[in-house]
Amino acid sequence: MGLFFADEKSGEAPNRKSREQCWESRDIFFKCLDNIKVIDPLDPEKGQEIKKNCGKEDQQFQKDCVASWVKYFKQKRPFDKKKAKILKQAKDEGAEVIQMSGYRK
Amino acid sequence: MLSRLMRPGVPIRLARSGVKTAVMSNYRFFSADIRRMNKEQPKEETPKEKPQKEEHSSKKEAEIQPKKHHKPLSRMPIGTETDYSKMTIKKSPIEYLTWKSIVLFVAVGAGLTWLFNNQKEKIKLRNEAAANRGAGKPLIGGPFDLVDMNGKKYTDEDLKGHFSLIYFGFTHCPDICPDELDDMGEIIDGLKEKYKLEFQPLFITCDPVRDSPEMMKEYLGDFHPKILGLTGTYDDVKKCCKAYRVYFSTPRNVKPGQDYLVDHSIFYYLMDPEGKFIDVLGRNYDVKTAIEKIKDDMKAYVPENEREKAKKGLFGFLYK
Repeated sequence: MGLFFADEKSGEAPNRKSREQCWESRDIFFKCLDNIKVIDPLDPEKGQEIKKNCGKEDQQFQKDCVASWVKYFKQKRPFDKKKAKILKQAKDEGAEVIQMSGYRK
Repeated sequence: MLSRLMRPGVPIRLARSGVKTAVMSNYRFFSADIRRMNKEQPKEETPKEKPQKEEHSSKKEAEIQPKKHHKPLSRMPIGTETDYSKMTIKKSPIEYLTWKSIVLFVAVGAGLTWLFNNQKEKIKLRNEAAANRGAGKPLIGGPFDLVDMNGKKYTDEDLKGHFSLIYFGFTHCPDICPDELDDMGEIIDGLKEKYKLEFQPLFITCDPVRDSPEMMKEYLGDFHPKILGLTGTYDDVKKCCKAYRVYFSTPRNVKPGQDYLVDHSIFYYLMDPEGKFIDVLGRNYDVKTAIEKIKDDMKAYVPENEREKAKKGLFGFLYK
């Protein structure tokens, strides 16, 4: 087993500090995407636009997070956006948000 | 009682005709009325009440007979003109309504209501736990053979003797596991502060290839110190995840240093001190409601030998 952990890159246990650093870079990059109104960072049509406007933020994001996390967060973004949109739409239509007991807000 | 009945003025016939004591006891309550009635009657009327004694003096009886109806109607119990032995008067309920009895009634009533509500809730949770235990065939949980983050062997036997809250995850988890582990820390502290209840929190990795005991120890250093990390060989972890119905998608043959994510179910499993499954808590519970839920489950837990005893006892039918 020890053989696998002798590796230098993933041998290091992810810690709180590196996690928070990663999340921060992610948020900066996503904020940049919001500014240029890009929802899906993996959309090939928007590739050039992202590189032009948020290239620096994207690089920092990839530097602070391991590749699998970058991929995960980038894939997750459209879903989170969609969810937020649905909730906002429901709120604008005057839908009442019911907090079910025992459920997260 | 008998002596009271035999007081002057009370018809002697009652005692002599061999009426059962149970019947006679009815008369005790209105013997005073009869006495008063007799007192108010003219003296010569009393002999009428003792016919046996006057059998020989038929002359006297004939004299008395017409006077029978002279008794004022208001003083005669309705429906009984002559035969007092057939008279019945219901005991007044007012007789028992003393303040003491009211206090007793309210106290006993309130006590029983509280007891029943309390027990009902407990029995409900107990039955739930019993159903989850699945009559000796656990649906969730089972034998496993892992290593804790200090390098010591940790098996399902080590779950015995204390409650456990098990969480499955992996150290390279991007956002959900760290969140959940932080929540776990809050649950541990919350239960201890609020209810003085403790359990063993366990973090079992779904990514045994990357998560060595040392790695787990380092990773868990960021979280609550009570959380114990468990890992093992690929097959042991896979077996454990299977026993707990945890979705396990870790690739078997990963190259060293390869970067990947693991898909896994996110649940807390609450296990009882017998190492058996009690309850599952998903993402739908926040810290506050999880604390309440775990507290309820822990309080409702009854050790196995007491459970068996209760089943055989007087109220055994409640547990079936």
